[in-house]
Amino acid sequence: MSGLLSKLFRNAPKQASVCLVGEVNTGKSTLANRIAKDFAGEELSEVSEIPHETREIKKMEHVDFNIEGAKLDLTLVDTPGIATAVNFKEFMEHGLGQEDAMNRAKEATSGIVSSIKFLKEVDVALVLMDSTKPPFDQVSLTIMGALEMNKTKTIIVANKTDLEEANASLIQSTFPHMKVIPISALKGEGLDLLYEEIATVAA
Amino acid sequence: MTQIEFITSSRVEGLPDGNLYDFILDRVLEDRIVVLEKDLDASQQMELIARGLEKVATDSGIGINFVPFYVTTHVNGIIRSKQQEVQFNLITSGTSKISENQEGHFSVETESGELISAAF
Repeated sequence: MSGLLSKLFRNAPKQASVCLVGEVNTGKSTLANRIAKDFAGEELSEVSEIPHETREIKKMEHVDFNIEGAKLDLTLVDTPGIATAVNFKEFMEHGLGQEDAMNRAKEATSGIVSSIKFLKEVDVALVLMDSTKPPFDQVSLTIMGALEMNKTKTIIVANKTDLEEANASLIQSTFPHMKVIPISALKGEGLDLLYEEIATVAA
Repeated sequence: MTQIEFITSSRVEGLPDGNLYDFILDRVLEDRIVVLEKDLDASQQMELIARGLEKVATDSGIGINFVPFYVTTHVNGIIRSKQQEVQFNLITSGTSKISENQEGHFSVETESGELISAAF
């Protein structure tokens, strides 16, 4: 019996949590939905133009990640975007009333704090960056520093390459020691390379 | 009126991290711009950001702004007597806007519209 069990466990795919982290509106939920759809057939998160749409950590367990012979039992985690501050006016500019804006800000705040605390529990971090913006923002640098301190396996994902002003090579030159994968989560471009990298890093 | 408060490393030496964050954030809550001389690692910066989100709330926002910068003997500003590169941290309430005009030269626009510039 114990021989049968050990044989079963030997053949079981490796478990790993893959967590999407990054600043606000870098496309974490769009990418999480792509991955979830490609490997589990359903989406994980709602997506919106309004900042802080994802205000709580969302998980999809037992995602059957199977790519070129590499099989993983993934827990896919989408996290609220990290920011040092939340401004009520930001939401009011998107048409929310004052009370709704304040409530959303409080929920967003709580989501950011949970994201920061969750960083310590991650196996593989996909750090999303908006490749239309310079990557020198303090939040991205702090996230990268914290992951490095925790010795977390990290892949930088330079998103939004479908936009004209995208400059993924600037992200690569800012983090020359890191693997940077340029993608467009919206258009589904560059995902094959990303999936290969996840398989390599998480295995 | 907003004040800039310089906090030297010797003033916070020996403070446990939790007390240090409270020490900083209490001053930010009093509408001060804090300039802290201390090498905060990324993990401490993350914790400061999280505590700031939990503690600092004004009429129009929640959290802090936080910019680490380095001062060396080559920099011509208020802080010039350093023998080696030293990390400082500029910390304000989240509703202020910090912009770095050139290396070590910052402008802070407060929630009430005051504009404060300083070259460190």
